[in-house]
Amino acid sequence: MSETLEKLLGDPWDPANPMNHAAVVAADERQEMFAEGERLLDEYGLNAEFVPAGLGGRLTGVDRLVRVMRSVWRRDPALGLGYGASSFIASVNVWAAGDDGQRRAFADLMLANRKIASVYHELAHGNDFARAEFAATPGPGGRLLLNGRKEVVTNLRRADSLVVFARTSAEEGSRSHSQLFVHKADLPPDRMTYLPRFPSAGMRGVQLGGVVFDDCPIPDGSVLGTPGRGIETALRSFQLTRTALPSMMAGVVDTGLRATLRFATARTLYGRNVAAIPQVRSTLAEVYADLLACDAFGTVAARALHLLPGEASVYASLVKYTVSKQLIDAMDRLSLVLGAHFYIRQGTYAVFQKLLRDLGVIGFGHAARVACLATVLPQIPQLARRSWLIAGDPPADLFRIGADLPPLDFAALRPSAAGHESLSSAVLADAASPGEPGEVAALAGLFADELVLLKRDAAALRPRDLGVDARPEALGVAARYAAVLAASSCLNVWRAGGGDPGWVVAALTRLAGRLGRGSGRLPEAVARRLFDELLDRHGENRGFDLAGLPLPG
Amino acid sequence: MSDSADDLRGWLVQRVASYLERDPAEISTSVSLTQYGLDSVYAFVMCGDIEDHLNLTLEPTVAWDYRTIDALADHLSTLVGR
Repeated sequence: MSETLEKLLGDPWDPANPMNHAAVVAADERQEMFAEGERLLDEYGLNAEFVPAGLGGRLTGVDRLVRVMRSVWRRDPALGLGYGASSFIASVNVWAAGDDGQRRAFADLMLANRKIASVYHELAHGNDFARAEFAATPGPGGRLLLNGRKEVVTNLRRADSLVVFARTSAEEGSRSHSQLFVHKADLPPDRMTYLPRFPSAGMRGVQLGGVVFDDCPIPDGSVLGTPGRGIETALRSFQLTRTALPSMMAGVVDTGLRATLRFATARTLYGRNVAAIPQVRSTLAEVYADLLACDAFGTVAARALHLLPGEASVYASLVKYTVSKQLIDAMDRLSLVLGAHFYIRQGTYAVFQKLLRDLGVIGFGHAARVACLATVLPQIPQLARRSWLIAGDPPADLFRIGADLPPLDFAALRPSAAGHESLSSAVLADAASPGEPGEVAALAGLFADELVLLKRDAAALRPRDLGVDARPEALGVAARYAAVLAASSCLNVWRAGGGDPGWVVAALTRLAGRLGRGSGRLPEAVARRLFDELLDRHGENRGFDLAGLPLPG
Repeated sequence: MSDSADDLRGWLVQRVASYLERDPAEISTSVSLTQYGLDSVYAFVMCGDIEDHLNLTLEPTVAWDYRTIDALADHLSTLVGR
């Protein structure tokens, strides 16, 4: 979390703070963006977080970006998406494929607090980019003409500029699309028609719009990069967003857990404090453990973008798959503790129902969870052959949370890891320091066993199982692999940082449960340690992530 | 290395047939791989198999740029010949 931004936004539980949860809920009830929040984010200049330092912004490390953005997401996911993520998603295409002039223009718009929409989605094609129909084809004068419709696009109407994904060749295959960077001021207004806003279950303040273009000419020089390379640009640059966005959203569950703790410690049932009920305590401890696991995997994957860019295609998709599931499950479990209070849209805990609805986008937005598995699946046999159990150690800085990182090199991000991946093998015992506590070593051993089984199962995958006709068991190989990567992240972050192993034992126990190795429930002694730490942090008003920094209030 | 374009073409036909679980005789070397249903990320499977077969390193997108077995075999034979 960013100290400056946290201080600016203040304590969200303070009734006197205009940025408090009640104000966020009220904006949601009006189905509006939270105006006071947008004003403060303008004042802070949040967009600069998305602009590389070399272009005048503050983007140095993706792990740092995630921490800053959690301060936004933990207050209002609609600001996270509608102020932040939309421009962030558009930006990475430009950093990865744009020329100097396009990058400069994008940076200048961002630094002037403008909005830029990422215009990809067509309802008819979903995540199936290669079949996107929206077209940019040369007209009689040689200028490109836009034709077609885009739907459920954040900020489409209020953005000044657009990054549009369009078909630039009628040929089938993966060299027929391009991204276009266009400014609305350059487009004839009679050639574009906005569609009515799409009503939605969550993110109700966010402007989810649509547009139809009809022979709309765009200026020369609008294409980002070499024409026809759009799918490659998306596969490379979205490694940043697929890694960072789910990890930012851990902030939502931070507030969900905080709301539930306030409720549980304030409420008396059956003659005792709700927080004294063992079932409640273990649920809260397990959610806390899941949050720490999400932070470890998300942070390691964010650092891998800098340190192991050639491998990042694997980590990005599997972080999106894993973290989204853990966070949604965590909120669902917390809702059971809150009972009726998670359902009521007023009062002290009303923020919870809004967060729960808003968080739903994590499962499908920007790439559906199963699409993330399907993206990695074709790489699996090669990863298994070339890397699993035999890869060399990843760089030590991968696991040193907060250590300096080399600048991002977008050119080094690859659409496929070509079989190279070093995080999974780092679960193996010979990578461990001697004298690891027995409970940690035993859990690490489970994931090492799993990797052995995975290597066997990967070798047995039929070619047909690697494509869209994959059986659920084949997708299961990718899902189990994701759990091993998450476990390796937790284990090695703990090995690098040292300290009380309570959290890593808890995080690994939870991840093992996802593999069907044990129930995933924490043993009583472990749950007690985690719950005590959670109560301490709550009392001291510190974040529920690995850093645990103080929060305002 | 004796991998002429013809050898490579034959080997690629076998590979594509195995991906699709079809008879190699049904695979045309002049039809785009996309038309056979081998999509953008599936091309990475093929790239890895070619790398292992020829013991060289390729751009993972090689099958996006050379979209039929004929085009791919010609391209690979020039790489191997170097």
